[in-house]
Amino acid sequence: MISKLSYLYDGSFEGLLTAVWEAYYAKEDPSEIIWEGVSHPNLLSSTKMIYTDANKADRVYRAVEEKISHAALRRIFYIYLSGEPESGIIVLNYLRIGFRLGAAVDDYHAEPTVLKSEKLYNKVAMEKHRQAGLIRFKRLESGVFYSKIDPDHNVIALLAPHFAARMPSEYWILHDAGRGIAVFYDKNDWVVRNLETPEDIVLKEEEETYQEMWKAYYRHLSIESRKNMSLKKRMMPVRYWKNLIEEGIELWS
Amino acid sequence: MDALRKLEILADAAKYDVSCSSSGSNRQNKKGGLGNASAAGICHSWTDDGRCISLLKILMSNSCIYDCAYCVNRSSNDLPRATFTPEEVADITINFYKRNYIEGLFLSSAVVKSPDHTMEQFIEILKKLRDVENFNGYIHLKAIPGADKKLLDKAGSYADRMSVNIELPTEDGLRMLAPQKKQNEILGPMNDIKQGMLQSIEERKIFRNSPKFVPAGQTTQLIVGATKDSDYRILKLSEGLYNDFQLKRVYYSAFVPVSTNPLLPRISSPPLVRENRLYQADWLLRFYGFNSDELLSEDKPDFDLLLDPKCDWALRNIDKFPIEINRAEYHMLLRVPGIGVKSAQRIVSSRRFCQLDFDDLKKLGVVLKRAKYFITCKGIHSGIKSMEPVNIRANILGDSSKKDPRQLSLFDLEGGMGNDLKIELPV
Ligand code: SF4
Repeated sequence: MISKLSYLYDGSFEGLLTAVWEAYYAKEDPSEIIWEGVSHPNLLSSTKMIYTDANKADRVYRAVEEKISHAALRRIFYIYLSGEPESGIIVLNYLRIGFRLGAAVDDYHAEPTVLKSEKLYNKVAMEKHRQAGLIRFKRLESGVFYSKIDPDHNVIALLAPHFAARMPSEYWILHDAGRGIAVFYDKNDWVVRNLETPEDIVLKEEEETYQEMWKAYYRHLSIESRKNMSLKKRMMPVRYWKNLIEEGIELWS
Repeated sequence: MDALRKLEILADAAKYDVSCSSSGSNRQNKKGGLGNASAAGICHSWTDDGRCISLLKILMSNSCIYDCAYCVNRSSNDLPRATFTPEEVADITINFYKRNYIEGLFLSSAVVKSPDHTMEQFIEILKKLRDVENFNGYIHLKAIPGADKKLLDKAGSYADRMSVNIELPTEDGLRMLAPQKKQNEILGPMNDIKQGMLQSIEERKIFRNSPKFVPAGQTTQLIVGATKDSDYRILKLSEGLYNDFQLKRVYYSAFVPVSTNPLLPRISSPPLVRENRLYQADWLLRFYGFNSDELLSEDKPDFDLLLDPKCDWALRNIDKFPIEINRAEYHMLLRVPGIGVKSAQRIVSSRRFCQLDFDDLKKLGVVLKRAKYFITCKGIHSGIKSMEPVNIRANILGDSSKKDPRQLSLFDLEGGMGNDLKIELPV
């Protein structure tokens, strides 16, 4: 029986790019590239540890940009952020086709790996877009705008530029509570740091007023004779509701 | 009355206005400012009826001096009235925006005291937002028919989008149901806005910093089903508005029976399917290269409620089908039921690499259940044997009869995400 080969990497984007470099230069054909902290390789497969190497990662990064396209670079980064177990191997196989076809790779929609990469990319892009709308900031006593979110994919860093452009003159924090990380913005720049859920969040007094107004507005907007909850749930999946102010209406009162 | 209570009344009064798209304007934020208008609309929430909420859509006031028969706010109707002060509107907008509840403001109003007075109040609000609060988010303003052109110009220099509602598709309809409004009071401002936009575009060619005038263009809305006007008349009107007035969008709003005026049709629920058909046809005009005379005619003035307009067209032109997927031109691909703009583009780019078969088409997003009657793939036809329209029709309807047409509405990335109503796009 031919045993399968699994690559294990540290979960960083550089680590993943290093894995791509390895596969190319060791002329190996791993059947999975997985994050050691999350997935466990199959018993039947042999494993190889990939040690993140900034230099190798950088060379792959530049090769993708030069030989394929900037869009391909973005695509693999999004796939990586998806955090899906198969994301590593999709990145490798997509790049293999990409190095052969160049920038045209993204037009080859009928190719199974290209299609998979597009689907995963779209999932992340979709979530980023949705979150841009579904995030709710609450104003804290200190004046900072704080928002807690629980996205399926790791999208806060993708959202940061959007909010930096939108609210350049406010302090704000975007907190991915599940992953324990947050974007902090200080009216100039943003950084991603670890952040556990803060225990005592004190809201500014005015906060309640505007929440009440938003709920009232929301309630008065639906047209009863056109009610269509299944459409609503398709547009705004229920799993996102818990962080929405307007969706708490029935629950809290 | 406090602002919360006013908000309740004035949101309620604005909810039947469907045109809430926030797309089409790119307003960069300035230093020290708040907000930007992005070209891609962002939905912040969805109502129970499945509409996207992206803007704070309110009336400034619902105290109207006019008495339009189809309108809840008509002066003869007995209901609670409220009017916001300019400060209140600006404050709510800014605070909603900072909490990321909304992308901007969509402001309309009943006619308070006079058209001019109403426009003046609007301008107060816009000044507060733009000049005092430095707000660069999106603002869509409803122009009040009958207001002075100077006021219109002033407002247009602050707003991203302006619209004048057509309300009813014909002058007769207007005379009967909204006797205080005149068609030329609607088309006049529409033309003024168009001229203002053209002029500002010209000026900006010479002076790059000269102010933008309604950069996101103008839209309009009309009510479907309050008068006897046919779909053909409505579609012709829209086509004219797109061509002659360069409107960005025409919105169709199924008539919601809010009063029992004897002039109004007696219906128990709004004609939603008809509204949907008009949106689909509108899409076909704007993105699929159809013109209104291909879709309807004096002899066939209304849409088939069971079949979407594109399918209906294909069946009436069955001699043009089936077409070969690997060879057909882009504009013909677009005319195949089951193929949307995005899948047509993907077909064209993918067939550079290989000949496509049915499996590939499925992957590219083609709805084969529909398309199979009208296409061949590498010469193979997998629809039904006879190319008789009645038979194809029966088969297609057999497939879709289980579904409520309202449930068909699909969220399609290609329409731009989440603008305005979620309607079933013509694929
Ligand atoms: S002018 Fe506008 S608000 Fe007033 S009654 Fe007519 S449609 Fe309604």
